[in-house]
Amino acid sequence: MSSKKRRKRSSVNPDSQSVEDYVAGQLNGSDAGFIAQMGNWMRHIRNAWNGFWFRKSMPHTLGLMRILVGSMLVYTHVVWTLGLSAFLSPGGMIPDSYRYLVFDRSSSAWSLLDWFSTPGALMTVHWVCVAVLVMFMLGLFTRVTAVFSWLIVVSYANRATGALFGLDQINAFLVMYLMIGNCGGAYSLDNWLRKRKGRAGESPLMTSDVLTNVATRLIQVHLCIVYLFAGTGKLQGSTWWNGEAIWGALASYEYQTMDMTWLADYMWIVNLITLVSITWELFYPFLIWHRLTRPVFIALAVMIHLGIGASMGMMTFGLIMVYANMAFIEPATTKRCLSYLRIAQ
Amino acid sequence: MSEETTMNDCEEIGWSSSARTAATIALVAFLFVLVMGPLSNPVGSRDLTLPLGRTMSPFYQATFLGHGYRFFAPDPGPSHIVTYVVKREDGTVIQGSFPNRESISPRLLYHRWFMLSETIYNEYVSLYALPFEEVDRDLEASAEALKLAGRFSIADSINEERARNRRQFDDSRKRFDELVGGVASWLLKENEGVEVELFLLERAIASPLDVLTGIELDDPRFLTDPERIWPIPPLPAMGQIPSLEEGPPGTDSPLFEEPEGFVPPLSDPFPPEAAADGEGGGS
Repeated sequence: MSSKKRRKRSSVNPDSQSVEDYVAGQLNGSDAGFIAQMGNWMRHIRNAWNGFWFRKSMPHTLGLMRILVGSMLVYTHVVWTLGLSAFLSPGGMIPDSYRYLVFDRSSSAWSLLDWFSTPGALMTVHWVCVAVLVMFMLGLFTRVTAVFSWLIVVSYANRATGALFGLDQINAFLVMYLMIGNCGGAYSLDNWLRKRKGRAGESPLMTSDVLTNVATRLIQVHLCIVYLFAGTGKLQGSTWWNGEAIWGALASYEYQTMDMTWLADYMWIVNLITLVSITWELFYPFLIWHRLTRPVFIALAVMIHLGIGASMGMMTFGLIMVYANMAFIEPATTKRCLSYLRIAQ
Repeated sequence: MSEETTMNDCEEIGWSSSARTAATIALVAFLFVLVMGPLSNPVGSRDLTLPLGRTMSPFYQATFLGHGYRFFAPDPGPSHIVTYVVKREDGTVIQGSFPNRESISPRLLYHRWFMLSETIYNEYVSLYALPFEEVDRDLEASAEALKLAGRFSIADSINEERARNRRQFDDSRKRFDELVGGVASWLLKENEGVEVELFLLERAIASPLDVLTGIELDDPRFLTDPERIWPIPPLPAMGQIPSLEEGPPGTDSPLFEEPEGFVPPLSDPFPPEAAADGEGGGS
């Protein structure tokens, strides 16, 4: 194909240039053709980028995630009540001086709890925080309570450093992204109240918007980063190669909640679970994006996370990972499923 | 989000071009910061990702991001238990341990105590298991040799590294003191005691063979001897870097004696040969 013909075709449909055309343009040695091909290639990338990040999206999936993540936040912080004096009070086990050193003498690791030094004040503020989280979970004044929920989660995490684990990390980034998107636009008291009052002239909450899509994408990308580094980190360990890693997790007395040691008689099952787990984790960041492999990877995520949660006493962590995976479910699918289950919109 | 919808519904794309450009710049910057977290934590390259990670650490701290996400990596390892003995003024003694499956519930609270004992162990390792003095002496000798050879700039950079190492070591010591001291003070207050001792133990994971021969996961044979961590033990002399089994000099084991008729666990759950095989067969 001559460069003239190619230019003519490009002018009809500039986005229709393929990689083959681009390479052909290079091989023909035409500078003008090459520049045009590069321009088309860049346009392709720009369109794909815009389609990925800036497409409008309905709030149903984020609305459901708000309820589930919110319930986890409420539970997490209600449980903190029992450890308030030990972990979170100024006279507790984790002194400010330790935090100061852990955070490399930086004051960036802020915590709203630092403002309250007496046990009474701390307990009062703690219950106010729990109330805010309940409001967020229910979707009441969601735009405001989402911001406060994020502030609360980070405050507790920065205060209780040394007693944290994966749950806290996932909680924090999920609530941060939910704060960005319109997570109160569906399945929320805000929406219900707006419908009930039927105020004229007000825009409905359940509309598609770009920020909802940006928030969903950020959750998806962040989750891929989590799995990528969790998977590649495991490649350094010999037990993930010899298939015994899952045994190491199941036979840890401190983790164990369900006796799975009967698997000692069937070590091939342990080997298989280990290899499936590491393969799933390594390939998740790449194959979750394709619609054919996505259901498989989400199904594996549910099985592996709930399995670990049940057998290793980390159901909270297992559930929050499953909730995070829900970001890959389309809003229309969420809406259909919940309508089928007759859950009110 | 289906690919068809994403790619074809151009009319669905929102925001003006300038808003999208601004958002793109913000998103690219944010994603870079996001990836740099696990690239610099817990390990990173000394001349690229670690300095970048340090630069971004205020943002990570303010947003509670920048974690390593190496869950159960590189291998599921042994767990660590802190035991304590609190003496009261009337002479009574209270003993306890954490994490304790029997006495701490719900499970999430138990996990908080579990993570605390693991943090104490990590601080212990960063203080006692690194041969700081030995490394420092080697670096000092290298710097002196380079100075004599007239290569002053390299010698200066080595001395800068020594100063950095010294600061990190001093920080490790302070962190350990503050954390274990905080736990000790809290236990004293809670139990109305006048004196407290804390000990650290490691529990190995039972191998399938151990389980098949009827050994329980909580068998005391899987526990190391308790290491006293409060009052703070003295730092080991050069060349005497302890493991949890050996322990720093000057410590004793008043809580857990080796059981009578002690038989070591039947086998190491993850023998070194297996590790060597795994690494060797990586190509």
